[in-house]
Amino acid sequence: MEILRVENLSKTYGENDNITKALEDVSFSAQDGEFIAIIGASGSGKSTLLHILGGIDKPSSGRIIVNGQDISNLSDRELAVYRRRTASLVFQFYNLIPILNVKENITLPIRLDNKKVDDRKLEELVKILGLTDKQNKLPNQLSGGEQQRVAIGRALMCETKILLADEPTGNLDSKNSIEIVKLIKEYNEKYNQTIILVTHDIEVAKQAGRIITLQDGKIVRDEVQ
Amino acid sequence: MKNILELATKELKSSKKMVIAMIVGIVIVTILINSITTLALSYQEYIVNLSRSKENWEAKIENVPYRDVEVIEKSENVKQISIVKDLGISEESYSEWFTDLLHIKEYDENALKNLEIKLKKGRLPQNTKEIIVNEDMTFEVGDTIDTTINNKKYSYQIVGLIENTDFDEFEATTLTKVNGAITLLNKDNINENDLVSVSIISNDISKIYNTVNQIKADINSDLNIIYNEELLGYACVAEDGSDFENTILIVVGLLIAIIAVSSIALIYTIFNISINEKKKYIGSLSSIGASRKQIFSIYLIEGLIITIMAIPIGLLLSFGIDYLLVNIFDGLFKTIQSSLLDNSLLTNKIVDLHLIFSWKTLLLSIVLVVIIVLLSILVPTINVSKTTIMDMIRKNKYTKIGKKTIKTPKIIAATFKIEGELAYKNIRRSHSKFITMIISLTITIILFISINGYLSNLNFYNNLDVADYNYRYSVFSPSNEKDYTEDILDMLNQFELIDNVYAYNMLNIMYTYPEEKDINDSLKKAMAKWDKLYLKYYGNSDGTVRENALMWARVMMLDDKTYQEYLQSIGDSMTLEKNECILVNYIDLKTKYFDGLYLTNYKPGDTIKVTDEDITFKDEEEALEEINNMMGWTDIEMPQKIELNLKIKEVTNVIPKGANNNLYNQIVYLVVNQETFNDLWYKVFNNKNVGSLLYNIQTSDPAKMDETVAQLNKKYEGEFRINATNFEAEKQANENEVLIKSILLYSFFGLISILSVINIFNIITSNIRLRRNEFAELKAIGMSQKQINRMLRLEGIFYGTTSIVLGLVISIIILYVLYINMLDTEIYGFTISVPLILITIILTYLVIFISIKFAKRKMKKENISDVIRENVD
Ligand SMILES: Nc1ncnc2c1ncn2[C@@H]1O[C@H](COP(=O)(O)OP(=O)(O)OP(=O)(O)O)[C@@H](O)[C@H]1O
Ligand SMILES: [Mg+2]
Repeated sequence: MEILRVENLSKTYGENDNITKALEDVSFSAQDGEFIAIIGASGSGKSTLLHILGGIDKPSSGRIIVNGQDISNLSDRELAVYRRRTASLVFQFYNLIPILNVKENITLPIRLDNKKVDDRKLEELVKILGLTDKQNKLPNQLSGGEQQRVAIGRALMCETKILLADEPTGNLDSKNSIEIVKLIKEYNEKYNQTIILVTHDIEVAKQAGRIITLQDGKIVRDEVQ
Repeated sequence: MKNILELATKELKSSKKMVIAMIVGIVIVTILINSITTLALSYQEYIVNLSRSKENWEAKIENVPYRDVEVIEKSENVKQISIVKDLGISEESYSEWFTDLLHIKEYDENALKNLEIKLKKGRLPQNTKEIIVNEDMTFEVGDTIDTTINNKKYSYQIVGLIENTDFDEFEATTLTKVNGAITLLNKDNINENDLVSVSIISNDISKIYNTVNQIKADINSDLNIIYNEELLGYACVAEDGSDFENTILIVVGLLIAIIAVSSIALIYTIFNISINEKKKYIGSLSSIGASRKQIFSIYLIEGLIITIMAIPIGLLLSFGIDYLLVNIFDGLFKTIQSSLLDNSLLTNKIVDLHLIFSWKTLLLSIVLVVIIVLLSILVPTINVSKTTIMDMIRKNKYTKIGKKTIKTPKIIAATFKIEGELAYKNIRRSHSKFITMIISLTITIILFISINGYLSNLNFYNNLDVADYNYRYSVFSPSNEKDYTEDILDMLNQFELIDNVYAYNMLNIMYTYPEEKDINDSLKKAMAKWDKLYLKYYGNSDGTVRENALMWARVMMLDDKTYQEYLQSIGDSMTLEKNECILVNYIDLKTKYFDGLYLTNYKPGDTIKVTDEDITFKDEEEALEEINNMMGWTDIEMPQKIELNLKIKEVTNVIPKGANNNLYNQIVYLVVNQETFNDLWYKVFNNKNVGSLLYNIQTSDPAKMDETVAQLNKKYEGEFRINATNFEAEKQANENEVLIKSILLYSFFGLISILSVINIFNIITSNIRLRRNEFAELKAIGMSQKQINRMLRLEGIFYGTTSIVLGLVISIIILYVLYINMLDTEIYGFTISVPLILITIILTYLVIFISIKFAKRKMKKENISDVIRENVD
């Protein structure tokens, strides 16, 4: 089943002489439960694509159809709901809320949605993330890897259809990187979550079932492993 | 050092916003502190001058042999001396009925000028043959007085009459009156060994004790020293201190403490925020080798440069404001002075209020400001110099958060959901910001409520004495012949000063003895506090009505016009027949026992009996009658009791224009027609000639009226004299007191609240600015703008509510202390103005929400993706 379809997506920054084409006529679609890695040189448009898919940036033209709905037409409020329920984002710099501890950070999107937190699920997730004895710590008491695990935990906890991760391992050593990607893959298989992961690291990309390569804002290669 | 200075100035230029905020803060602090010290000093000088205008001496040395006077005069620090020689008491009496003696003192020219003389008529003596004597004696100006003192004969011409002096005496048992009299010191007739009293004015009042002690050591004689305690107290140099000195110190100290706390909260925050925003830069400074000490110096010097720039601006503004205030207050103080003066004295002086400049207070102000700034910037500067390079270069994202999870109270989480929880955690994330925010808000709230509460207490208190007259001037006729008064009115009318005249006549000595059932409950309640409420004639202290409870009943007649108007105001086609009355049953007075005092339960149709029999004197009268009988003085006629039954036509709360009823003359007014009144008058005085009316005049220009009355009195001196009371003057003096205090307190509040508002605004905007990333992140994980708004609103509500609760609790304590000290707690209840509190609450939230609104302006337009990208760079 198709969960996501991108049609002729373009994104330009600036005007006239100063114009930068970050994305140019990008089209692809993703099936439910697919694990896609996006690679490409710096400045090729990877983050731009992910931000648009995650609903925190708007395309200049083109359509993004998620679950049969065009998200480029959504209002800010609808987008907030989309981010809570449909697509969760993980960034390179963990983006945790400093005043909230591990548990609170992980459950924040659920609570923002005014839903009850499933304690058993939380416990299990914290355990899988290896954060059981850190669950009451604040972000500034965690290492980089731990912080990133919390950020991923937060994305996984809400069981969104799609998980979008922008270089989630960019800041970590290779051991930590592989561990984190394995964790993501495990969840992908277990819950049939669709994953789109941006990375520089080819080793990380190899974990995915499909690799899309961007160059100067265009898809130059799209291969299934 | 040079490099550090350069770096510090570079720092200054790079943080303009911070510099401006700091300068505004320090300028305001300087204005406040310098104005308070300067105005306190000016006020003190004024009070000292006021005291000197009555009597101008600091120490009085008695029993000085005349030959030693020179020693005193030549003493260091002595500016001027006044010499008084006691001539003694006359041998002859000037009255046939009692011993009426003369006590003459010789004053030298300085003494006539500096010592207190209450001259009522004439002038001061100009030579040794002239004298001024007590007005109680039978002499007039121009008379000659001969006297014998210590076998010497003296003869003087009286040139003036005075009130009692401090050497007047009266001995009741021997019926001896010693009258003070003052003449000029006869220097030809003074012996080297004669003892005189020498009053000193010094050059430096603070050294007066030393000066006097030196004199004591220099003159080998048994001297008696008296210090002018009042003056020394006002000058704040009295050995044992003084109430005035204590009050000034407490008030100034308290105000400076309030200023210090609010300004430290502000300057600390500004500096702290600015320094934290520059941590990256400071990190790079230290990574290129700047030592901790050097970094500390850079920021300390930066703070000091700002202070040095701000202080002169503050001082200039302060002196400008003070000059303006002193000029305004000078006029107001003069009105107060003249209302307190005894108008019958010719020796009255009016004192000016000047702006006093002193290097000492100026220096003190500067030192205080510098201390405040240092205290404010020291902690952030030390902190920043202590942080390690790593701390600073690392993304400062999660810094300034403690290591402990902030627990959100359950109610907040339950009531306000996740937004409330986030809001609560946000306001608690930085301890220092939370504390300074609460301090700023709370101080402002406390000041606002306390100042308003104090001023309304003061107003209430002042208005207790000055009843709410609906006239502003009153002219009393000089005798029982009413023609004079009519003439006087005609005269005054020519000056076009009279807006309205309310004339009435009253029989003040009538009483009524209501039965228990006729006395209103509110009066009974008041009786329970009889000793405070002067209601002892009505009842017992336990609240029960005493047998034959006495109540004053003032039978009142109005002039035709006022009478007709009054009847109209009671009811259409209301008229009074003979022996009918309208009963005024109400005193407009709010106490904790009653809200408005109703006197009786009489209804229209009832009869009220008025009599001139004072039951409280019944025992004495009976005793007198018994004595008369015993002695056989049967021809002595006991006064006939007068009784009159008046039919009550109407009971009303409305008091006739021109009359007033307050707590201190609580009585029932019985308004009757002329016939009834004349009849009663005849019964009481056995005289058909009804006494003159009391004229209450409504005038729009009481001051002009005063002038006119004085002119007329001068013109018709010897013929008649207008006795006039200017009710407006007293009221004006009270109003001026309130006005002066209002100007000072509100200006103080205004400036302090500017400090607070800047601080509140600064904290809120910086909180929101610093959390820009966080908001983007929250949005990225699905928080809507609405939810963020709700969170920010809740933050404001939490700040506001915490401060309002804290501020209200402290304010109520302060208001209660003010209440205990200002009002009679036995009579008046403790009240809190609900509108005032509502206004406070509204204003508090308004300031907070406006700041939030302002800070959010930029936030909304921001693209989440852009902010998140910035984070990566
Ligand atoms: N706000 C912006 N204004 C102007 N140009 C922008 C903006 N954001 C991105 N760009 C440009 O768009 C292009 C694509 O940027 P993008 O961040 O998507 O690249 P990326 O593939 O994620 O690179 P990296 O691997 O370095 O993260 C770049 O040329 C970048 O300079
Ligand atoms: Mg990128």
